[in-house]
Parts: sequence; structure tokens; C-alpha cells
Amino acid sequence: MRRHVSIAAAMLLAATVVSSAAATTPTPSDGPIWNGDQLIEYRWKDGNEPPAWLRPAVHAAADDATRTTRAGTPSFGYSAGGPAWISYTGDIPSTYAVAYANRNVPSSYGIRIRPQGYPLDWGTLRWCQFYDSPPTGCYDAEMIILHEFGHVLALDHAVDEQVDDWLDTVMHWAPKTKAKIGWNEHGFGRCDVARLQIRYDTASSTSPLSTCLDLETQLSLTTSSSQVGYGSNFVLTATLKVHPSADEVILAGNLLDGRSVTLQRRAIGSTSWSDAGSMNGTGNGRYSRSLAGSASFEYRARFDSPANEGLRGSTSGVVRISITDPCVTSGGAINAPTC
Amino acid sequence: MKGQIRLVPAAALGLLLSLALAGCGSSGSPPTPGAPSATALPTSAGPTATAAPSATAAPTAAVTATPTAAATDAEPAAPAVGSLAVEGSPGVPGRQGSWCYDGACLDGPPGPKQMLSLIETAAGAPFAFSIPESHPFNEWSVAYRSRIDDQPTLLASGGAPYDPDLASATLGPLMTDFTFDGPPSGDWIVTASLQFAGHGSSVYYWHVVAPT
Repeated sequence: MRRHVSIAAAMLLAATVVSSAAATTPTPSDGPIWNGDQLIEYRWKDGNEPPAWLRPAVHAAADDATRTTRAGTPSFGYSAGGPAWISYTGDIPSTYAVAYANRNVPSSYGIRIRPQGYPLDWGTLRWCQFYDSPPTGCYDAEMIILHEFGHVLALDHAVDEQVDDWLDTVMHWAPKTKAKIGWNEHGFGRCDVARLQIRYDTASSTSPLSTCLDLETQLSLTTSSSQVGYGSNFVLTATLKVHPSADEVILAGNLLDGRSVTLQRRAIGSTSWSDAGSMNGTGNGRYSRSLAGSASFEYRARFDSPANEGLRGSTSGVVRISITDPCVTSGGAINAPTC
Repeated sequence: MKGQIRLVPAAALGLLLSLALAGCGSSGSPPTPGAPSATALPTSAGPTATAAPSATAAPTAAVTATPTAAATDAEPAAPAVGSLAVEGSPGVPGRQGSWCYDGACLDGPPGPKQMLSLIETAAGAPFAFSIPESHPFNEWSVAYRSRIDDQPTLLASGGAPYDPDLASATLGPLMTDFTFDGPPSGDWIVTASLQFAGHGSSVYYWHVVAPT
């Protein structure tokens, strides 16, 4: 009975902690970073060249690490004369490690991969790529090498108890083997991407910001003219950016293109807004809409928090457009329907 | 039972053997690829017996658990190994897991629970963690789980985050020890995770049994 009470108490404690766990935060990172426009080519280390069955996994991991950051990170590729190297070696400082990476920013890095069949203190190392039919318990080399490229990019390890969803990162303390969840992830997790964006900036103003971030946005609205004649055109222009006071220094103030910004209006004196259509992106974080004056309105732009990005919604200040003389059109004719 | 620590000679011997293997590893003579092993069972036997508490045995395990600097290129040393002590007992070195430090990162699993240094104590017993002063840390957390692939349950955490990528970053006080209350009754893997103030991080593992 006492045992049952203890187990129940333990389960209750566990449930309490799990239910109150915070969302996964961006993967930790340490040390200097590379220039975003670098192509850091790797070669096979002389005397420790990876076997033919492993090489495609290395190239695939390099491609994964180049393609899935959504950040201004350097690119990785193979060149026989590359400054960085990949080594297939037992020469790794420990009796339990499967791989090791060290970086020498901004010039080179090295990634070491322990050989297939190597006797480690916890068992015999098996790489899935070695087999025609990979057995349960093997390590996916592409995923492990992607993890090492993550270290090259300055990612550290995620702390397990701070990770809600295993797939949020590939930078785990202890990567999983086949066929446990996440054993063959071939792209950085969303919280790896978040850290890479924090450190290297986004790849472009249209790059989606990781959902592992929670960035405030700032939306402003200007008009080409605040007083227009009836039927005259005027242009409203909104500018959307990451809030300049965002804690993430590199991202703060970034202009945001390719998002959905809505124009809203209300009659003067009204408190309820109605949609007046989408604003068209024109680049440099700007979204515009041209309207013809018909009556005096107040306008504002609205950006709703997108489901696929770590951006908060925001609303611009109010811009009032007054029609100078609703009875006279821009051509000077009498506006018969109104007057 | 509270405060009693039982060391595991089998695991310690395994670590010693591993240390010897690591020293040989630098010569670059791995097994020949092409002969896949039939299983991935641990090469170190689990603890089939436990020794009586010994104040002198614990530090031995600490030394053997420390990764060796066997690499050929000049590279940063691994973080120091942290120890866990139940009140009134000597510290038990943890098994170091993956780490990053000053530009180098090492990745490996902790192995099965039976390979970890065993600490037997009462549920909720007070623990003290410590690490040599050469590796002070700014943030720590301790968690437990039944198996390594389980989602861990946070036991305690402390210190202050330090994220130099943020405008608000401030480095709080550094520390080399902390205390916390142990896990509830059960057979657990306990992990301590440290953040070394912009230098890197490391995780340490123990096998903690808290009888009902």
C-alpha cells in the first residue's frame, strides 16, 4: 500500500512538472560565429577518409545543414582542397562518444566520426548506413553528422528537461537510435533554427521566423495625403518590422516582407473597425494600398500573428483621411450622388 | 538507508578498461569495418554486486570517468567531472555525457543505467553537487527519469541564464556547487546539466535508487 502511495505521489509530481513545463527555448549556443556568406568546404582527412558507404551521408548532412537553417549561415560543401575536414577515426577524446566536432572560426573545422563496429564502453557502434537493412539500435549517420554541423555553426546542446517536443531540436545530449522518435531527422529543429536566426540573422526579409521565437512586431502606417478631394487617389503605406526593442539584438528592427497585412477602416467617431482589404507588399517591409477618396475615414493596418512563425501580431497607429469637399470631384465637377 | 552510498566495482572496472581503450584509440586502429556486430549490448557488465560504502573508492571512479585528451590536434580539454554526494557521504563522480567547451563538442550516449555510478539513498534525500573550481557555471538543472529515452522530470534548477545574444544579457554569479532534494522512490537515472557561462555545457549521469 505504501509503495502504491509513493508511486502515485511520484506520478502526480511528474504530471505537475510536465504540465507546468515552459515551451522549448532556442537551442543554446556558445562562441564566435562564421560569416554568413562563407562557403566552408570540407575534405576527407588524409589517412582517415570515410568509407564509400558513409560519404553520401556526410554530403547529405552538409546539405541539410546548409538548406534547413532559414538563417544567414554559411554553406557547407565538399572540395578535395577544402580547409575543413571530415575524419573517420577512433581518435576521439572519450570511450563513449560517437562523434566529435571542433571549430576554428573563421577558417576551418573538423568533424570526427567513430568507425563502424568500434567498441565503445556502452556497446558496439553501428551506423545505419553501413547496412542494407539497418538494424534496430543503429545510429543514422546523416542525423549525427547534421548534429556535428550544428556544433560547427556554434550550436550547443539542448537541455532535455527544457525540451517539450523531441523534434524541436537535433542537438540533444544523447541522440536516439533507430527506431526511436527523431532517430533520423534530416533538418534542424525549429528551436535550432531559432538560435541560428538569433545569431546569424534571417536569410532574407521573407524568411519565416522560427515558431520557437516569440518576437514582438511593430507596424506603422503613413498616407500620401491626409486631405483629399472626393474621388482623388491616395496611398496608405504600412511598414512591418521586428520591434526595434526586441531582446534578440540581431533580429531587432528587421524589416518583414512577404507577410499578410490587412488595412482596416472606421467612420469618424465609430469604435468598430472593418476590413478594407489586403495591403500589397512592395519590399523593404512596406505594404501599400491605393484608395479613392469617398468619405472621411480613419485607417489602420493590422498584422495578425501567423501560425507558422514566432511573430506576435501588431496594429499600427490610426491615420485619418479627410475628404476636403465631398461635393466636388477631383476634376472640379459636382458630385451629384452626394450633393 | 538515508545517506548510504554504494559503489559499483563492475562499472568502475569498465570505465578503467575504457580509459585504456581510449589511450589506444589515438593510434588510429579502429576495428575493421565490414564485420557488423550482432548486437549493441553493453560491453560492460551491469553491477552484479555492490561494495560496502568506501570513502576512498569514490574519487577513483571520478578519475576514470573523465574523458581523456587523446586527440592529435591541439584542442580544448573536456569540462571537469561533477560529483554528487548525499549528506554525510563522499561525492560520487558522475558519468560525463555529451559536452561542448571552448569550440569543441563531444557527443555520446550515457549507456545503460547499470553502467552509471550507483547511489542508494532515501527518497527525497538532500544531495550536494560539486565540480572543481576550474569549471564554474552560471546555470544548472537536475532531472530524473527511469530510462534514458524517457522524458525527464525536472527536480531542481538554479543559477541565472546567460545569453550573450540578447540585449538584456547579464552574467550572474558563477558557482561550483549546489544542493537539491533527490527524486522520489524509484530506480532512476539522475542528470545534472551545467551551463559554463558562454564557454559551453556538460551533462552528468548517475544511477540513483531510492527504495520505497
